[in-house]
Amino acid sequence: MTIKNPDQLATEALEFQSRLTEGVKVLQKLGEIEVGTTPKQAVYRDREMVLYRYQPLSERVDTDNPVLIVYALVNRPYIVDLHEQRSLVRGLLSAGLDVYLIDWGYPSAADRFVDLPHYIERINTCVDKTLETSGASKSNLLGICQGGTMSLCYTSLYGEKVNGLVTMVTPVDFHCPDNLLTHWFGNIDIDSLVDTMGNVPGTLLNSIFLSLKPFRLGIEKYLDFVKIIDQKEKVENFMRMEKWIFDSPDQAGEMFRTFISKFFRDNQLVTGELQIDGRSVDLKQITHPILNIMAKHDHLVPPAASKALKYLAGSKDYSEIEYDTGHIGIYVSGKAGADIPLKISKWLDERS
Amino acid sequence: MFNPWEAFQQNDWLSPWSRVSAPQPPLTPDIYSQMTQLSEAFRNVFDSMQNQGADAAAKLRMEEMIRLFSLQSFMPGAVSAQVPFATNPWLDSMKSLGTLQDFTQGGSAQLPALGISREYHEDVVELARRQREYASALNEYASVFQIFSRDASQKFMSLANEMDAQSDFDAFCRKWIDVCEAEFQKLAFTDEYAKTYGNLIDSHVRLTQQMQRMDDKLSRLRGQPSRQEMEQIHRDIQQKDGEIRQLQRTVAELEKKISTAAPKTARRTAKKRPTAQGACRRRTAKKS
Repeated sequence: MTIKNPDQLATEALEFQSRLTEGVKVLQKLGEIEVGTTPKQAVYRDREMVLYRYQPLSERVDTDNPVLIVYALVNRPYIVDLHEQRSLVRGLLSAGLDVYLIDWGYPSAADRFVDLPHYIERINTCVDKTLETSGASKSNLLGICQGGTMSLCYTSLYGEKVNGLVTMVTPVDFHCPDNLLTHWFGNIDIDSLVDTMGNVPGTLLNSIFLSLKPFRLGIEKYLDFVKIIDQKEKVENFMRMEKWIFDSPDQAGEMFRTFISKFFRDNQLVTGELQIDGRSVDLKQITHPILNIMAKHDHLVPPAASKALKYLAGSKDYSEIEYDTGHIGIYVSGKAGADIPLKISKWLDERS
Repeated sequence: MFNPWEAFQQNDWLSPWSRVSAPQPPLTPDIYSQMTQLSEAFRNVFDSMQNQGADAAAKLRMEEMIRLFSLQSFMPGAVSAQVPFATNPWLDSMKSLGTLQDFTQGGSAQLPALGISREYHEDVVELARRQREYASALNEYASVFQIFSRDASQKFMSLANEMDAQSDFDAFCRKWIDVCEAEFQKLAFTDEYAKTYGNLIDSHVRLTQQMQRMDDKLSRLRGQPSRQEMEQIHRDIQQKDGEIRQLQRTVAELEKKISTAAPKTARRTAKKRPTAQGACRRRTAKKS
């Protein structure tokens, strides 16, 4: 292959450098990046965990049908309210829903021995507080990623408090062949890691997550960044995502051990062997309406890992939607970001 | 007439970045230094092309351009490339430990430890052993990655030769990334890679363990609580926390039972208990 037009290459390289030159000016003036700006009130606190209720954005609010968002322990929940223009929460509020969110906070060394039963109990307390605050008799759960897995466990045990269950990019079957994390975790001595580190550093998890797609996430993304580096608004959006991606709380040691060993290694949600506080977690007990949302190009939770829910849950009212995006894009991409709140609110409305 | 080559040469893009960058890069090369590196690679490629003259540059084969680019950049196949993702803050945290090889290669480290410093001697020998183990795991990972990097570059070059002529450098980089990512995905799913990566993390953990053990001993000597002791306290707190929650649940259930039972009891009591009015009536009846 020959290069037909070397001058064009030089022009392109010149543009690249010029953008870098302009980019310095934009970056220097950038200031503090704001995230999660939709007004909300804390309605309950338990050490580092906070339950928030978002202030309504519409005149009519359906308090009989509250939605409790259960986010993952990995990363921070403000991804659902990253920016005014990219906010799942705002979309739900605009549809007249009464929205609550569990912020798990940053575990400290004192949370080293907090385990799965404790997290399920915390969800239970938050559901109670949601019902108390809203006056409703049941709550809807919107579980995201690992938060979706925990919501499934919760609904299996405390189903009488749940109306409908929405799961987003939620792993259920951890042994599907395209799950790279399962493949890798099988070769790491998790017990030794937790015994040594106590809480598992967020930095370690980040390095593992980035290693799943090193060239897309470590190189291509930043080459794309240079393309927009001279445009303030786009740089701000990019920086918001950067802030979120690397804002990774450490993982409570025992919870991490349980999640890796019982879910990733032993796939107990599928085998039906999972026990929480002596109670069996049986997905067949989930007879509630389920809306399962997934991303076609999800490298962290392959769609097959989520789709297993259809066959494992006891629900006869099961629907799923697959978006042509990735694990992160499902929250922030223009199309999925605009569509998902509408789909969720319509789905809930039909089942209220 | 605008000459992009001259403009490229004259563009002082580096100065503003130099003014805001740290004189020394941090432990892990940051993204800004990587971008600067990429931009410098551009410059070197075009310097070489320009030195060959316009005709020669026009005939320059893509593989030559890749070779020139590879010499300078952080892209896979590059001579100077760091091993990506073996260089990250968590894994690199042990690099600043310094080398203990001099000590372990010395004669005394080969002999049994004796005397008042016996335990310390043993600890240091063990620390050095684990550090070597970690260094070896890191090298093994780097080797796997270098082989991958070489193969991915060769694959890209063979594809580049089959492709139609492309003068878009962005497409060129993107194709490179596509090929590398696809090749990496094949590697990442192999048992060999998973074992090498797992061993890298495990050896890091074993090294950390030994450092903690030594730190714990020092803490005790300083009269400070050790990590082990703090862990026991945290474990106890968690256990007590669970017990308190259980008690709270029991209290709440009892309160609920009492509150539902209370109105019934109150009604029953109200029927049995003589009211002041009733007592008055009874007294009046007796009198009459």
